[in-house]
Formats: sequence, C-alpha cells, structure tokens
Amino acid sequence: MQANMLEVKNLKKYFPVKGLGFLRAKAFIKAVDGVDFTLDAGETLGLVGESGCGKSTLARLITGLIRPTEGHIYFEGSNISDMTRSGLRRVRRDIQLVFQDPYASLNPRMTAGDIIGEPLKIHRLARDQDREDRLRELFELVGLEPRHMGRYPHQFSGGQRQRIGIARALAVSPRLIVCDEPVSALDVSAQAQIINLMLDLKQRLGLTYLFIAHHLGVIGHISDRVAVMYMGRIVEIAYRDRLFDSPMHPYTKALLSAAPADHPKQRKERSILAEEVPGPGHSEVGCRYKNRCPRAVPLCGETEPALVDLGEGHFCACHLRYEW
Amino acid sequence: MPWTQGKAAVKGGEGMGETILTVRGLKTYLYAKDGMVPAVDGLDLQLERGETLCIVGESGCGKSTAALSIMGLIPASEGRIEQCEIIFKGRNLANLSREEMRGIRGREISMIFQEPMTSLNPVLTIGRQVSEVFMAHRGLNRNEAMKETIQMLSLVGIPEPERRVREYPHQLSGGMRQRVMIAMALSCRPDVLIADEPTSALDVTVQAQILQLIKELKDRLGTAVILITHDLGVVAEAAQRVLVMYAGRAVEYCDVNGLFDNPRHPYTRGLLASVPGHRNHGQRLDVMDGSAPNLRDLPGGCRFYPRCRYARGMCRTSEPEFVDIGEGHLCACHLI
Amino acid sequence: MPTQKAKAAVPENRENKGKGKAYGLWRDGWARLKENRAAMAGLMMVAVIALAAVFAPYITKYDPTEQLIWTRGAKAQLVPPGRDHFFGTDIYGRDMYSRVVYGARVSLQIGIASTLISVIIGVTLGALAGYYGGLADDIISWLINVVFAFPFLLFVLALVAYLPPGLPLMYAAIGMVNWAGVARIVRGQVLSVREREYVEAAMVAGGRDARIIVKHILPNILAPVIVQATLGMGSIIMLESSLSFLGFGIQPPTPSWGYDIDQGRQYLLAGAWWWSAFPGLAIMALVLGFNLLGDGLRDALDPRQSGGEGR
Repeated sequence: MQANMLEVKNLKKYFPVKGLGFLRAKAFIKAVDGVDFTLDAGETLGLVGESGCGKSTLARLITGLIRPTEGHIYFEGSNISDMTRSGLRRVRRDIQLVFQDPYASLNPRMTAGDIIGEPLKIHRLARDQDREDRLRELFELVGLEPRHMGRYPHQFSGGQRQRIGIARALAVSPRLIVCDEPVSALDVSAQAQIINLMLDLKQRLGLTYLFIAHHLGVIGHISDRVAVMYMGRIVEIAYRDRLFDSPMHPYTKALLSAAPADHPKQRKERSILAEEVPGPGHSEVGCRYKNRCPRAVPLCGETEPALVDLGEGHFCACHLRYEW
Repeated sequence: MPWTQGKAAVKGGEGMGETILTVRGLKTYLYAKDGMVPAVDGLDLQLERGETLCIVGESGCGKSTAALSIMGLIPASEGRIEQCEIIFKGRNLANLSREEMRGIRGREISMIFQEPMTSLNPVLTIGRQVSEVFMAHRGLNRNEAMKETIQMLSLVGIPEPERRVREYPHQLSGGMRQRVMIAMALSCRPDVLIADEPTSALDVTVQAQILQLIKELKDRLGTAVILITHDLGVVAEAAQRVLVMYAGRAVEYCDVNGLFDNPRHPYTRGLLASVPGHRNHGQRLDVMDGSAPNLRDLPGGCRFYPRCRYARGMCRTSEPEFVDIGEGHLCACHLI
Repeated sequence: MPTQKAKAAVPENRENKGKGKAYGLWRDGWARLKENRAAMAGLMMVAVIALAAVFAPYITKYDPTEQLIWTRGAKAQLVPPGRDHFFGTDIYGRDMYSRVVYGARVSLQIGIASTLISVIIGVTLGALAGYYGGLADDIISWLINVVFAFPFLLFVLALVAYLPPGLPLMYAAIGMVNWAGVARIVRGQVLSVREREYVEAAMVAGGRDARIIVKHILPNILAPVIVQATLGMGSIIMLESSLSFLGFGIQPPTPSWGYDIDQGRQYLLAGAWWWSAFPGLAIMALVLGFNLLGDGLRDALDPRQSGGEGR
C-alpha cells in the first residue's frame, strides 16, 4: 500500500461576513484555520467535532467544492488545491463525497437509476448496455434491488436513500471517499445497516475513508485513526484506542466524558464543560480552547499551541499536554 | 389490562410509588394525503411521581404522536384520538374540553421540543416570553413576573440572567435556548414534563449538560419526566424505566437495568445490537434487516415478524399481547 | 429522527408500492388542483375563452371588422343584443359577439407571447444571477431594480410615438418589462436550490455548470415560475386592455376589448350598454380565470404541502 494518499497542509478557509448596506466584507468566519493531517491509502480516518467546528467545510475543501483561502491539499503527490477546472474534474473520479442528509442530497425529480448513472454519463464511463450492466452492479453492490431503478427518491426509506448516495459516489470507482456525517440523519437500525455496508465496501473495493461524524460511537466503530477538531483546527489526532483510552487534549477529554453511557450502570458524575463557544468576537490570541479549559494557564492566552508529535502517531495541540 | 397485574411489581423501583399518569388504549390517527394513518395504535403507559420514563423507538414509531396526544396537542384538522383513557390525577384528560385542557397544559403538564428555536418567538426578548408564562398562569404583574423569570433562568443554569432576559432567541446558543424552554416549561412547577427529543439537535457536550439539568430539576421539584428519544445512550444516561415502541405499539417496558441486561423483545435486542462503539471496532453490527412497516399496510400478526429472526407460525397470524412476564417487565412477544 | 417536529409528523410513506413512474409533484399537484373548486372554475373560464379564440371563425357568423348595417342616422347602427347579434352591434354596425370572440384571440396572443418572452428572459437572467452570484448578480439585480423603477406607461408611449403600433410591439414592450418579476423570483429560488446537497453532489460528480443548472436546478424551481407566469398572464391582459383603452395599444380596426370598452363608454348612458359591457365581462372572466388558476396552482404545487422534499 502506498503511504500518504492525501496530505493536507496548513489548510485555511475564511468566509467573509457581509457587512450591512454597500460596505463589503470586513470580518471573516474562520471555518477552517490551519489544518494539517495525512491519510494513508486503505485507512479510515475519523474526524470528530461539534457543530460549527469546520468539519463539513473541510470535507468540501478536500472534494474541491470550495477553494481554500490558504494552504494545500495533495492527492497522491499532486496539488489539487490550485488545479484548473478540467484538472479537478479528473480528480473527482478519485475523490467522492457522501452527504449527510439522504433527503436533501438526491434530486427529487430524478429516478434512482438516473441519479446513480449521472456520474457515468458525465465522465463517459459506460455506454448503453454497459451502463445498464454497471448500474445493475452498483445497485447490487449497495444492497438495492435493480428493479427499483425507475423509482424516485421519495419512494425509498432513509436508509435506502443513503445507499443511493453511496452508489452514486461509487459509480466513478473512486479511491478516497469523504463521508460527511453519512449516518447521523438515520435511525438506529438504518444507521447500523449503513455502517455495515461501509465496512463491507471498504474491504471489497479497497477504499480509503475520511469519515466525519459528531457521534463518538460511530467514529470509534469505523475509524482506524481519529482526529478531533475544535473551532477550525485539529487539536488531537491519534490511533483509535489510544485516543479513546488516553486522550491528551482537554477538549478530547471533555468530549469523551460527555458521551452518554453505554449502560445505565456506567453513569457517572461528569465535569461540566463551560457551554458557550466563544463567538467571532472573542480574543484571537492564544489557544482557542482557553475560555472553556479548566486548566488554562497564562501561556494559553498568549500563544496558540502547535500540533506536537507525542510519538506513536499521537499528536496533540496543548501547552499542558504532559501535565494532565 | 396488563397494567393492573403489573402494578404491584412496578412499584418498588425508586420507592416513589404513586402513579400520576396512566394511559390506556391510546389510539391516534393522523390524516395524510391518502387516508388515515394509525400513528399510535393501542398504547398503554404508566408514570409514577418523580420518575423518568424514556419512550424509545425509531422515526415513525408514534412516540412523538403519543406525547402530543397526551398533551391534547393534536389539532382536529390533523388527526383524531379514539376513545381512550388518559388519567392524570384522577381526571380523564381525553374527556376534557379544549378550554379545560389549556388550563392543565403548561401548568400541570408541560412539554419541551427538539428544536427550541421554533418554539420561541424570534421578535420577543427571552425575559418577555418567560414572564408571559408567569403572568398568564400565576397572575403576577410584569415586575413580579420578571423577578421570577430571572430566578427561574438562574435555576436552569443560565449565567447572568439579568442580562439574558433582555436578549433575543437568536443571540443564545442552542443549549441556552433549550434551557430557556425548560425554564418556561417548569415555571409553574408542573407534575409532569414531557421532553420530546430535547437533546437531539444539540452537541454531545451540551446534551450531557441538558440531561444533567433535567435530572437535577426533576429531583429538586419532584417532576415526573417522560423523555422521548431514539438514542439508547440517552436512555442509558437518564431513564429509570423504559418503554420501547415499534410501529405504533409498545413492545417492551421495564426498568432501565433490565432493558440493558435482559432485553426480551427481539426488536429491543436488535436495537441494542445496532449501537456502534469503539469497543467493537470494525466488526459488523448485528443488524435487523429491512425497515419499519408502513403503518397503512401493516403485516398481519406481530408487526415485527417480517424483520424478526425468531419468527414462527403464530407470529404471522396473531398479534401478541403486551403482558407482564415477571417483576413488572412487560413484553409483547409470543416467544417469551 | 432529526426531522421530528413539534407538529404532529405524519410518518413517512416508506414504500409506495406499485406507483408508476410519474413523479409525485405534478401528479399530486394535479390531484390537489382538481379538488380546488375555485381553481377548476378558473381553469374552465380560461379553457372556454381559449377554445373560443382558437375556433373563432367556426363559432361566429360575421367578420369582426365588417360594417354590417349602413342605415343612416345617429345611433341607428347600434343594434341591441338579439337573435342575430347575440351581443348587439357597435356604432359602426359591427357584430359585438364576433368582436368579443376575436378580441380573445388578441388578448390571449399578447398574454401568451409576452409571458413567453418574459419567462425566457427572466429565467435566463435570474438563473445566471442566482447561480453565479458576484458581478453577474450585481449587474442583473441592478437591471431588475431599474426595470421596476421604470415608468412603464411612458415607455410604451414613447415607443408608440416612434414605431408603428401593432401586436409584435406589444409583445416586446410588455415582455421587456415583465421579465423583471420572473427574474427576481427565479434568482431567489436558484439561490436556495443551489445550496441543496444534490446540487453539490452533481458538482462532486464533475457536472458542468450548464448541466447542473438545466438538470438539477431548473426542474426544481419550475413550480413557482409556472405560478408566477399564470398570475402574470392576468395582469398582462389587463395591461393590454388598459393600453388599448387609452388608445396606445391595439390599433383599430383590430378588435380589442380595451378599445371597445373605451369606444362604447360614451354611449353607456345613452342606453347602449352592450358595447362596453360584453368586452368588460370578457376581460373580467379571463383575468379572474387566470388568477383563480394561479392561486390554485400555488397551493397545489407548494413544496411545503407536497411533503416530498421541503422540511
């Protein structure tokens, strides 16, 4: 297996906040603010974070839906963040996106067959009978019945719709699939079905996943490594068991402690995290977690901690990482 | 009624004992484009003073509709409740007029919803909206009501309530808005609080806080809570007793430890086996095939049999009764 | 479960077994429209008038511009409604029934042609503005505002002063001005639809802009455009009549309802009510028909009621 399928370097995306009237943007929302990570071929990197931490923006950056403000994305060595449109179109056969909302992500005016077949048409991958066969194969691959090809999205259940979304992503035989909360809109049993499907597909097709979710159970189930994102940055990244068993960053600890118990006998009194995430107006100097951090020291208000290698693939961005 | 048999055993648990709300044979039909949908189809439940009952189930199982029916919040244009008993403090809510129901709602039974933003008026300040409740239900004047409001907001853990009362809903975070809703719901010290997915739209850290808050307030004010959720984590975290619903019916009812240690209904087992986590990393989850049936086109017999791996002949032909299988554990399955 | 709402949520219809190919919105829309009595009455009115216009030569005896009665003397030509002339005749002895029926041709022609022009311009510019945003949006939005601020009547007066009046001029003049309303609606709709995930999905699949606009965006904003066009039809017909009434629209002897109302006006008090009354009723019926139909369509096609997509 080739190492470093994807490498993201100092990636930033700032969205302008429109001022009132004729005045143009002055303020920015720093949705992604200096993200670095690598992704090896064949692995699943879980990306976990709360709403507004920038994880969906990151997914859209990597799939080329939006252009970064700064920084680079390398896919198999080539820089895809400053490619031309036609270059991007080729890359799109390798990197695909599975969306969160199986209701909003399917065009209600197209049949399941047309939806899944569209990428084939766009990239002229198969014609006539070939396309028909390929469609059939894709339907079966994701556990849908080919005879339902002519149905419209509203005639499927949520879980089946998500299967359609996955089949659409698979149509161009991508190698990397970015999954943006693919199961969070689903019911428990449909969620389990989709998780199983994604595990199967990974094995059968040798896929690499960047799997984004806010649910720690889902992330823990599917990921080999886990990255924790907070306010536009990755604050900790480590192999799964290490992250769950010995988290280093105070935010990761808070997140794990807040996760509901698996069993009523494991209920615990938990340290309550200050709730307010500081808005755009907060002080931008220093660690972005300082206002909620129970252990913040003066240094935290002065410099932003860098993501430091702690060995064995464990990185953490905290000044106090060894003192916990 | 199985409840009468189970009652003696149901007691005990937390030692509260006194039943505050009993629902028997609740049937709610919702009007849809092509006919009526039996969204809740013969639901029994019983709530004791001060306990937390979780109703758990997947979308479309009728748990929210059941809650709205108890609250008398199904508009005549949207649905119809069949003859049933909803006994609350000795009165049958099903027989009350809309006017009488309005007096009980918000004062003795109140409700909070998943998305607090849609329940708050965006153009009124927080203080105005919460104090309105005090003025309407307790007859206080504006100043007294505002004082009570500030007190209530600090009770639900909103920092600087004197400043917050002057703010508008959009200036608060999702968690803060849910706290405001809880403050409004509890302002008249109701006996029962129905919380419909109160944390599903919130982040994990905020969810933990809101669950904690509900628990603290429940203990402090002695409010019984019906917590509706699809998340077994929330159940494990907050419930004392659990009612599992499937396709408009209750399939299992027991105390929370019993549910996690000794689930009896195949659907409950399936749900528990569907929960992902890092402990069983990478393993296939033991899933239930298919999805919940269309309520307008229910299979004959047990509603779960098409997805049930243990199904036998009789499951196809007769619908199992919801019966006590010992120590207050109720289950609707032929195979127990 | 995140779609659970405070309102009683009807459980989703999971499997519509055996339902055919036609997608629900149009089929459901038609079903809802059929149940709306006012809308069906509107549709009937429009249909009857449209059929009359199409088959005008077969259902009228006289040429609408032919002077049938040459009797001398004031008002002698004004024949009241009767067996031969259902709607009477005007002062020139022309059959009013024929004039009203042929007038429908003119009104509908102008309504349809102008609406087509404004829909084509409006959808194109609105979609460009909404999809690309930025400078394109700034320019087009500015244009829309200019058109809305434009004194339309003066514009037409100026045009008529320099160009020979006639039907094509009317289409062009009305179309040039009416597109702005369509464009504004389309722009807003495109802005919201382009944020939908299925549009992003098409982009990820590598689809070109033209494909995304034509396949993914336009079909999903068709409903409001149809509603707007139907309602607009009524106001265009009204506009044409008003212009003709003022003498700046259709030029005689071509039959026009607005012109006839104006001409008959002077004889109303003299007892010749039919000259103005029948064209007036015709305008009312057609405009009312389009408005009832438009309102019905809005209710029938509203995605918030169709349950399929809007949450």
